[in-house]
Amino acid sequence: MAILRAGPWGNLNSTHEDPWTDFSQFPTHYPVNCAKSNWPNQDWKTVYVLDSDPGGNIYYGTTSLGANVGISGSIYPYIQLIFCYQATQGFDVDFNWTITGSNFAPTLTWDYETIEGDTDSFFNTPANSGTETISLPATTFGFVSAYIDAYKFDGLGSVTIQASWS
Amino acid sequence: MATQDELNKKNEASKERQRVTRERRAKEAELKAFERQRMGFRNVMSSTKLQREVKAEVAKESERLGLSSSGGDDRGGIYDVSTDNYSQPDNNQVSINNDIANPGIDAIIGSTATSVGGGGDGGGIPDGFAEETLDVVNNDNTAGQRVFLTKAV
Repeated sequence: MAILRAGPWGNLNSTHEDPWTDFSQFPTHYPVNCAKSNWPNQDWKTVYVLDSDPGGNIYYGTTSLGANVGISGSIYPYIQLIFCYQATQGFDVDFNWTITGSNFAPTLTWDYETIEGDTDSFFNTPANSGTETISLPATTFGFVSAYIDAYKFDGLGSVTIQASWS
Repeated sequence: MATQDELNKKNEASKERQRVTRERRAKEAELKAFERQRMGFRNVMSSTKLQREVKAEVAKESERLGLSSSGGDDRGGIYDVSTDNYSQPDNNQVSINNDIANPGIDAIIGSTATSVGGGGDGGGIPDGFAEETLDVVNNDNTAGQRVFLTKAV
């Protein structure tokens, strides 16, 4: 059975919100996607959070399916990608990352939660690059977040992280 | 009350009908005999062509005897005693009135087919409702659209 569209943006507490416009601050609601498809008037998108270092620069914005975002830092850079979705059947989404530099330790986490109560999460100390496939359940409204960081323990030079959904 | 003359006429007509019937039956018997004789060879006839030839001969003989394939003009007819006429009945009707297997076009009785609940004579969208095209997630996870009838509450 078809699902009536929510959004265009929202979160688990409020499934109908206008698109976020003030990207000088951390967004509190996110684009609501149709699984991995585009809506007739809104392409698939995800919010990104790019943090270079504690106390350093932090950037918020949106990007599309398959597009990389990146950030460099000398201590503890991280990338977080967040979106909401609706799906009539379960589907897989891939979180891809690449970290370049030296003397760093990466961590990766992801989690999802649906308005019906399905939830799952994952934590790992991954390789410097890779793909993590997340199997998302069918839902009338779901929230997904993935996070990758690189803790640079020598304080010398910088490390660069890139990440995307596909 | 009928006069003697009228009774005599009716008797004559009746006798004439009986004579015609006797003649027709005699012809039919003759034709049947002819057919039996020709078809007697049927068992030894393996050729469809030959069988067709016999049927054609029987049809010709029927024509010669003045018999139609249905057995005569008045066979199966309806006799009208008031007019002293035979007439063939109309062919059976073939329509949705006789057989539900026949296709038909339903007609909605009333002023409009789309009016719902008090719409009355307007047709189209019910009173107080408006059409809105809304996005949906299709069964295959693609985006689609549906037209909804909506009404503010």
